Amino acid sequence: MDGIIEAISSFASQQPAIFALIIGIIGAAVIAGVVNVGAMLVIWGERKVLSDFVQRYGPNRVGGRWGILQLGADAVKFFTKEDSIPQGADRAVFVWAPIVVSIATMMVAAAIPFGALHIGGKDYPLVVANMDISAFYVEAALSIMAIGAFMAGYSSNNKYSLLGAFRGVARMIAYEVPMGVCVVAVAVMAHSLNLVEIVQNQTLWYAFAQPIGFIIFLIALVTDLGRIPFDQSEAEEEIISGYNTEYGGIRFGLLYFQEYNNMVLGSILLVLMFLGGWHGPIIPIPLLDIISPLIWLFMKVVIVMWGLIWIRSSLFRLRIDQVTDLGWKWMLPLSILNLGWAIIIGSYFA
Amino acid sequence: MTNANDVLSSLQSAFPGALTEPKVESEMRLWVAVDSKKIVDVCKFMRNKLGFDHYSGCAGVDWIAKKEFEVVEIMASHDTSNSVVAMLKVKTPRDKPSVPSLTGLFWNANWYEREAWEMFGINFEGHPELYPLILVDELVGSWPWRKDFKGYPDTTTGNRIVETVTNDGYLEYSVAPHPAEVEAGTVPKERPKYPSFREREERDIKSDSEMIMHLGPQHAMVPGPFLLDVLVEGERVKKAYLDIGYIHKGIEKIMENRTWLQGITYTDRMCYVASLTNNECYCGAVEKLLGLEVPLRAQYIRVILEELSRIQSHLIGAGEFLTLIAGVGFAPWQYMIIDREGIISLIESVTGARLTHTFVRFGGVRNDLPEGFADQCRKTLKYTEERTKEYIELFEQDPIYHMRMDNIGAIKPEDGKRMGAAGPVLRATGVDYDVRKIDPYLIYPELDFKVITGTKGDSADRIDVRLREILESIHIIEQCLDRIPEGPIRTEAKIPKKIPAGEAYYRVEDPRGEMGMYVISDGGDKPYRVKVRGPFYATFQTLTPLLEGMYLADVVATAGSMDGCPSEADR
Amino acid sequence: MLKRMMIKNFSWPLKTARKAPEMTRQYPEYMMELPAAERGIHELDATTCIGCASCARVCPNSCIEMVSFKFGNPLKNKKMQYPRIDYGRCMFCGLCVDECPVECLKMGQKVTMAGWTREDIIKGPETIATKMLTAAEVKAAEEEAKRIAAEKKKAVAAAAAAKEKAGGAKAPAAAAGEKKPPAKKPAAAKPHETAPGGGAS
Repeated sequence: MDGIIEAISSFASQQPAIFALIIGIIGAAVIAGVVNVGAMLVIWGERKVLSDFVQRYGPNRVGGRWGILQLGADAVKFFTKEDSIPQGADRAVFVWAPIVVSIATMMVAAAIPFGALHIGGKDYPLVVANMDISAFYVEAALSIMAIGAFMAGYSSNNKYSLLGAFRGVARMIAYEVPMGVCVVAVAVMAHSLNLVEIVQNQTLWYAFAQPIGFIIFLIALVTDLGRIPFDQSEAEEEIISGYNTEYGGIRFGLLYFQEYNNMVLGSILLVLMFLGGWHGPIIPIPLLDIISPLIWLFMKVVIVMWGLIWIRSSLFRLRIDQVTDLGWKWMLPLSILNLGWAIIIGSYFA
Repeated sequence: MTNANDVLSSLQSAFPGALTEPKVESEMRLWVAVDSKKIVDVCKFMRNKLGFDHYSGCAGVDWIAKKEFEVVEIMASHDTSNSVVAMLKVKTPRDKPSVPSLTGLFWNANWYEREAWEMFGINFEGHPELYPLILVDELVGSWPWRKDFKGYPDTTTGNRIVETVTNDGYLEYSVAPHPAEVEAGTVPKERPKYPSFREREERDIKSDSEMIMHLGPQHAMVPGPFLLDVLVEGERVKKAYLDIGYIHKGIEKIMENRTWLQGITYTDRMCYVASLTNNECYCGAVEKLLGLEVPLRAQYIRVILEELSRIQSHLIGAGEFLTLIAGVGFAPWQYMIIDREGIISLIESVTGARLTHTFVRFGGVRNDLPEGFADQCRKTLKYTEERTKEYIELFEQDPIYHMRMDNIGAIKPEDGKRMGAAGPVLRATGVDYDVRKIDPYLIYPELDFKVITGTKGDSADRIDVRLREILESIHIIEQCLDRIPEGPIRTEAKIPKKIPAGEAYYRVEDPRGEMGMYVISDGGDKPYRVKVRGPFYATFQTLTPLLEGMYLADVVATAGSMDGCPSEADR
Repeated sequence: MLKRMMIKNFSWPLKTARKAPEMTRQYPEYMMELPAAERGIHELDATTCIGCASCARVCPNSCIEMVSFKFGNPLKNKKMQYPRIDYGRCMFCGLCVDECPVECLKMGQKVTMAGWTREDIIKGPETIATKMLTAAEVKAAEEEAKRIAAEKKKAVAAAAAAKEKAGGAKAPAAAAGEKKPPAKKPAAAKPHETAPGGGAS
C-alpha cells in the first residue's frame, strides 16, 4: 500500500500535467457514472417519498418489495423507444439541446467536492478539479441547463414548447441575480470562493450566520431546478410538458435524468455552502472514520432532497408573472440586504 | 308566490290571439303554444314584466305525423319567489322550418338554438352564429334527429379514407360518399355552407405575434374532451373559442329506440360522475307521466344516495381542479380521492356498482339498504366531515392558493344570471338559486338545509362553495338516516309497458346545477322524445367571454374550477 | 398575512407520511372485498330457469342470446333454452336480473375476466350456471315430463269425450273449452310487467 502511494506521488511530481490529465479522465468517468446512477436513485427516492406523503405505495414490483430496479426498467424503456424529430423542427438545435444540458451537469460535477476522506486527522477533499473560484463556477454552470432547456423548447416547432422555453428563460434571469449575490455573501464570510475552503472555514454554519441568505438561496435553488412551486416551464396541465414536449426516447431520458442530476448537485452545493459541508463528529470505528465526512455529507444531502420533495407535495404552482415578481421585487433586495449583513458580520468573524 | 294561472292570464291579456292550447298542469308548470311571429315579444314581456329571466333551453321536436316541427322554449326564473316553469311551444311547418331566434333577449340561447339547427334543420332567424356545435362537419346537413333520418354513412368498410394536403402542408382526412349512400339518403345531397371552425378562428388573428394555442381535445387539463382554443399574444389571452361534441353519444336519439326501462341505463352514462341524479331526473319525469306515487322509504333512499353522490362528485370537482394548479403530486388532491373511496364503497354496498348505478326505478328504487348501512354511513360521514373541514382550513391559510385563485374568473351576479351559469358556479356569485329549495321534489321540503352561496364569484369561491356543500349534504344525510321509515321500496302499482301519451318536465339539482328532462310519450313503449337540459352545457357557454384578458395559467384555473363534465354537455 | 402561514400545507403531508396506505390494495394478490349487492358476472340457476327469454328482451345492448343447454331442467324449461351472455357488450346494469320472473339469474361477486379473442368472453350457460342437473337427472326429468304430458293428453281427451256426450247445446262451449288450454300454460311464468317486489339483487 505504501509503495503504491510512493510510486504515484513520485509520478505526480515528475509529470504534473499528464498526471492531472489522467486523474481528470478517471475522475470524469467515475463522476459521470456515479452522478448518473445517483440520479436514478434520486428519482426512485422521489417516487417513493412522494408516495409516502399521499398514502400510496410507489414502485414496489420491479426488483423486490422496494422497487429499486424500477429506474433500470425505465432506462431500458427510454433506450428502446423510437427517435422522432418533429417536421419543421430545427434539427441541429433539437439534437444538441439534451447534450448541452448534460454538458452543463458534467461541468458542475467536475468542480464540486463530493466529500472528504479523513486520513490521519486531515481532510482530503474529493474533487476532480480544485478551482479557486469553484463556488462561482458551479453556480454559473448550474444555470447553463436553462440554456439547454431554451434550446429544446425553441427548436421544437411546437407552441407549448415555445411557451415553456420563454417561461424558463424568464425564470432563470429573475433568479440568477439573487443566487449570485448570495454566493458572494457566503464568499465574503468565508474569505474565499473555493468551495473546499468555504467548507473548511465554516465554524458556524452559514445557515445560522446568514439565515436570510439561506432562505433566499434555497428558494432560488428550487427555482433553478424547475421544481414545484416553480415549474412553470414544464407545467403539465397548461403546456403539456413544456420544453420537452416533443422529446421522446433517450433524448427525453437525458433531459429527465439531467434534471435530477441537477437536483443532486444543487443540493450538494447548498449543503457545502450553508450547512457545513462534510463537517461532523468523526465516527470512532476504524474503517468508518476515514469516510465519516462522506457519510455526513451524504446524510445532509439526503435530508435536503427529502425537503425538496416535501415542498413539491405541499405547495401550489405559481404563475409565471408572480414568479418574476417574487424574484425581482423580493429576492433581489433581500439578497442585497443579506450581502450587507454578511459584510458587517463577516468582518466580526474574521 | 307566482302561480301558473296568473302567468297564463297575464300573458293572455297582453297577447290576445297569439296563444293557443294552454294547459296549466300544476301550480308550477304551464304549457302553451305561441305563434311563431310573436314569440320574441312574448318572451320579452315575460322577462321584463313577469320576472322570467332564466332561459333554460329549447328543445326541438319532430312531429312527423303532423308534418310540423315544434321548438319548445323552457322559461324559468332565478327569483326564489317564482318557481313557475313555462314551456312555450312554437310550431313551424316541416318543409321550411324557421323560428325567430331569442339570442337578442337571452345571451345563452346561442348554443341551444345551434343544436336545434344542426340536429333538426330548423333555421333560427337572427342568430349571430348558426354554425354546427356538436356534429362533425361531414354530418351537418343530414339533420340526424329527425324521425326519417336513415343513418350515418358506414365508414368501417374498405379503405375509404381520402388524404388531402391543406395549404399549410398539413394532412387532412375525409370520407367520400358512395353513390349508393347518396341514393339511399344517408348522405345529404347539399351541405350547408359556412366557414369552418378553423377559418373562424383565423379570421381573428391580427398580427404575427399572436398565435392560437390548443387546450384542445387531448390535454392534461380537461376532465373530458372539448376543444378550447385561445388566441394568445405572449402569455395573455385575447380571445377564446370553444367547441364541444367530442364525446357525443347520441343518447337522446338512442333513447327513442329503447324501451322506457332500458332508457334508465342511458341516463347513467350522461354524466357518469353523478349518475344517480340523472336517473332521478328521468324516472321523475316518467313518474309524472304515469301519475305514480313513490313510497316514502324509497324517497328517503333516493335522497340519501343522491346526497352521497353529490359529496363524491364535489370531492372530484374540487380535487381534480387542484391538480390543475399544483401538479399531480399534490397531497390534498390524493387525500380527497381517498375520502371519495369511502363514499363510493357506501354507494356500492347499496347499488352494486361504483359508477353507473342504474339504481332508480319508476316508482321506487332497485335495492333496499343493506344491514348495518346506517352505522357504516355515519362513521364514514363523520370522517368525511372532519377531512372537509381540514380542506377548507388548508385553503384558507395558504397564500399561494390565494395568489392563484383570488379574483380569477370573477363573475358578477347579474352576469351569472344573464349568461346562464348553473350550480355552484352561479351560487358562488351570490345568487341563491337551488332547485331543491325552489322546485322541491322528493322529501326535500321536510329537510332542513341551507343554500350555500359565495361572495365574489371567483375561482376560490367556487371551490369553497363546493366544499361547504359537502358539509351541508352530510347534514342532510344524517337527518334522513334519523327519520327513514320502514316500508316498501317500490310502488305496488303495476307499471305498464306502454306509458300513456303526454309530456312532462322534471327538474333536479345535479351536483353541477339544475338538470331538467323533458319527456314526450306518444302512448308507445318507447319515448317519443327525450330532451336533456344539462347544467354543464349552460355553464360551458359562459367560459369564452370570461377568458378574455387573462394569463394562460389562469385559463386553466378558471376552466378547471367550473368542474366540468363534457360528457354531460355533449350527451 | 400573518394568519396565512402555510403551516398546514407542510404539516399535513408530514402527518400522513407516517401512516401506511389504507385505500390501496395490492391487486391481484389481494382482491377487494365486494358487498353482497355487487353486480358482477352472472350466476344462473339452471334448475329453475324456464327459458322465457325476458332477460334477452330487456337487455339494452342485446347481449343475451338463448341457446340450448343439455344439463337444464326439462320439467321447467320445455325448449331447454338458457341464456348466453356476451360480456364484450354487457354493461352490468342488472336489468336482466330484475326482469327474471323466477329469480334464477343473479349477479355474483366475480368481477374479473380475460380472454384472447372476443369469442372467449361470450359465456354460455355451461360457464355461468351454478346449479345444473346431471345427465341422469336430466333423463329422469325428461321421463317425468313425458309422463305428465301423456297424462295431460289423456285428461284432455277424456274431458272432450265427456263434453261431447253432454250434448250439442254445449258444442260452442266445448269449442271454447278447447281453445282454453293454451291459456293455462303461463301459470309457470308470472307476467313480467310487475317488477318483483322487495330487495331482489
